[in-house]
Amino acid sequence: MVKPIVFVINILFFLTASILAAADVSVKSHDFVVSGVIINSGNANLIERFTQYLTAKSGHSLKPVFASTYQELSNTLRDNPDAIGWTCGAPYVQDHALDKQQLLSVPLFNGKPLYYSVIVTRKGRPEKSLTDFKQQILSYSDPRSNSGFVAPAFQLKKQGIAIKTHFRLLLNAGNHERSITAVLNGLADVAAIDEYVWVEYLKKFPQTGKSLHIIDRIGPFPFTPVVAGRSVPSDTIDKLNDALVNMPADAEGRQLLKELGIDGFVIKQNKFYDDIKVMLTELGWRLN
Amino acid sequence: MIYSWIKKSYSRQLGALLLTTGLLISGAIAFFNFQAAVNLTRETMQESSEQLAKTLALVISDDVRYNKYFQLWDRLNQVYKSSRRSNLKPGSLVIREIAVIDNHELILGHTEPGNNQLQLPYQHELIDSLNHDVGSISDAYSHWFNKNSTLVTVLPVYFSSERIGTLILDINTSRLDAIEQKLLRTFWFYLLAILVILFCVSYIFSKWITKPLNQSIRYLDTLGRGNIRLPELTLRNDEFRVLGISIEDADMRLYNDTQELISYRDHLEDQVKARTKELESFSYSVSHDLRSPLRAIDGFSKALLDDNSDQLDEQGRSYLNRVCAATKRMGLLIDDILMLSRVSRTEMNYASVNLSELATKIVYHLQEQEPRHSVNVTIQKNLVCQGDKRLLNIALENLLGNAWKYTHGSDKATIELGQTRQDGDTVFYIQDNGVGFDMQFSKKLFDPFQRLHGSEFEGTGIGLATVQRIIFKHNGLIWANASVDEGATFYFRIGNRTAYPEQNK
Repeated sequence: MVKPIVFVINILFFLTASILAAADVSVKSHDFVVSGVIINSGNANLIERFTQYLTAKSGHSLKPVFASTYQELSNTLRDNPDAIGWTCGAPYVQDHALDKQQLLSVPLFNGKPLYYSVIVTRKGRPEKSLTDFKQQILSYSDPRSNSGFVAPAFQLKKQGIAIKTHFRLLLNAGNHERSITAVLNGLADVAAIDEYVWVEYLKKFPQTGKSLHIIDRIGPFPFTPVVAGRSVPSDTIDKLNDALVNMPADAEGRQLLKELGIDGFVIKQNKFYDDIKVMLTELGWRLN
Repeated sequence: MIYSWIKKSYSRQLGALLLTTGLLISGAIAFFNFQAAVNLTRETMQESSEQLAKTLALVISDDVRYNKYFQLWDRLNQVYKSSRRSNLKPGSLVIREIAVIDNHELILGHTEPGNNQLQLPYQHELIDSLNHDVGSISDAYSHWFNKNSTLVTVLPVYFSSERIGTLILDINTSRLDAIEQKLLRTFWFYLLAILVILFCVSYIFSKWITKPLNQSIRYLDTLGRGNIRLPELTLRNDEFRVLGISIEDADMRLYNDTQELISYRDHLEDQVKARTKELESFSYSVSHDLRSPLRAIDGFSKALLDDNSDQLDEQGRSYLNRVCAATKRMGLLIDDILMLSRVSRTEMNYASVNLSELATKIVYHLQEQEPRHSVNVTIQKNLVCQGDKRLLNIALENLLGNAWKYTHGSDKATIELGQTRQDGDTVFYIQDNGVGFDMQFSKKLFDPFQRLHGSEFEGTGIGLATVQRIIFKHNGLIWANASVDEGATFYFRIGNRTAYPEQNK
């Protein structure tokens, strides 16, 4: 008599487990791919907290994924179109054109969704602009970085100078922080740095200001956007946008914004990045 | 100076030999050990440097091949900083700089990019001083720049089998210099310790080796006494046993021979004494017995002259006068010989003798006998010595009598008795300004029957021999100093019982 009861209980257990496993597929998390400006030394924990905050506020599970280059980020969103990303203006413009990447929100830096590319070199040097660094070494964060490469390349191109021949060497440092380090250690003579990263870097390493200084600014440009892959549904985008835009409304959001060094997020349309699109077109990037 | 000090002792020579040999051998061993330690340390450092270079070359080959400058610099910098952090750990390499250059010797990566910029020709003072072309080095190559405290390791960087660049590693060897200094200090410390130990061992060993020799030498002083016993040597089993036995035998032989010689000497001395006594007795007897016939000759000759002179012619009287004179002279000779004989046989009777008083009496008698001989005599007062008064009186009689005799003819004759100091001893002297004598005959002066003057001065030639015998019996010495016509001075010293003038005591 007991054995049939045990058998029935076992059957019920396996059925329940199978239903729960199916339900888990329906709540699958989105990759939140981060690269470029957001990856600073030691802020992985902050990104994880930011991701958890968005998960909690949007109701959509996000899992942080760190890409070492913008190309890797673009490839990830291309191959995994459900993913969310925090990218740079130039890659976004190209990825939007080629992969239908969707724009969510743009961070506010100093109250505006804009930033500059700052030209940094060692103090005591005579050069005043990028043109003065002929046959020297430019350090940049990523070949697809707007502030690190596109902006200086466009700046020089406007003067009829090809960035690849103007400098003796273009040094790909991997990110803005390392680009600063390259100039600081004499590896490179000059670097184009995201203004936001430069400000954050000086907060962490104030002594850097004694060795390096800004000799020029290029911009302003639309700031680095939060984007979504082509398959992310609009309600998800809306919920994520709500979570981002309303961050200043709660204490945890404000604390995260303070730690990230930005003032909040604002929803922008794709045309907001037209200036970058113009630059990329001028520089010959493939946009269709 | 040290050499002569060492040469004076066999023990020191042996010790010096041991010390020098030991020091040379130990010093050489210590030096070779020091050199080996230094070489081992250097080889270890060079091996570590080359191993590090090889590992690093593997790690960076991808960065070099694909011109990942920042990654390359980052890796070089990590290794560089790691070496700096482990600076204090023993055995760790302290990197001065790392450079990676391409096949055209342009910089691909450098730990000091400010001084060696990317894609510019590599600048390295030490590498430039090498005769090698860096590009031609096909395997790990290290070179020591001791003056710069630097070890440079050069290693080609390969990607698969393609040479894509060269890694140059500069190691700071100043720690090695410090280690070598420490090793050198240790070397000197050990050498000093070895020196001290060797010195002690050499001292003990040389003393141990030379101990039987020193025992032998010590006993050689008493060789011939027949009491040398050397069990320390004769109980040994080495060569010193033979030496010990030989010394004991030699001692015993010498002792026996000496005893025989002493015995024979005593026998001879007894014989000499007996003969001397016989001779003296004979001499005394002869002298004494000659007196009676001599007195008879003298007496009868004078009686013949007194009673029968008118019966004799002039020639006969002359002959008899000559007989009387000859007998008188012979009498004097007999008296002197008897005196000499008596002096030899006289037993010494020591007492304090005042020579001044004796001399004063003698001079008084001389003046009485010859009042017409004017002599200025000076006698120092209180000349006292220990001796036989009677014999010293005889000596003074002879010496003063000679002075008196040989000042005949002097216009202002002087005689002086006094004392002086010569070589720390008190010496008495009798000085006159008489005829003196030639010093070439001074050796014969005290021989019996030797006379330095002719018949113008009477004398038998026995007086000074008698004086010398008296002085000798007093364990003293007598000598003279004179020149012809300028007087003579006789000095004499009475043993160690020296007299001082009373007023100077």
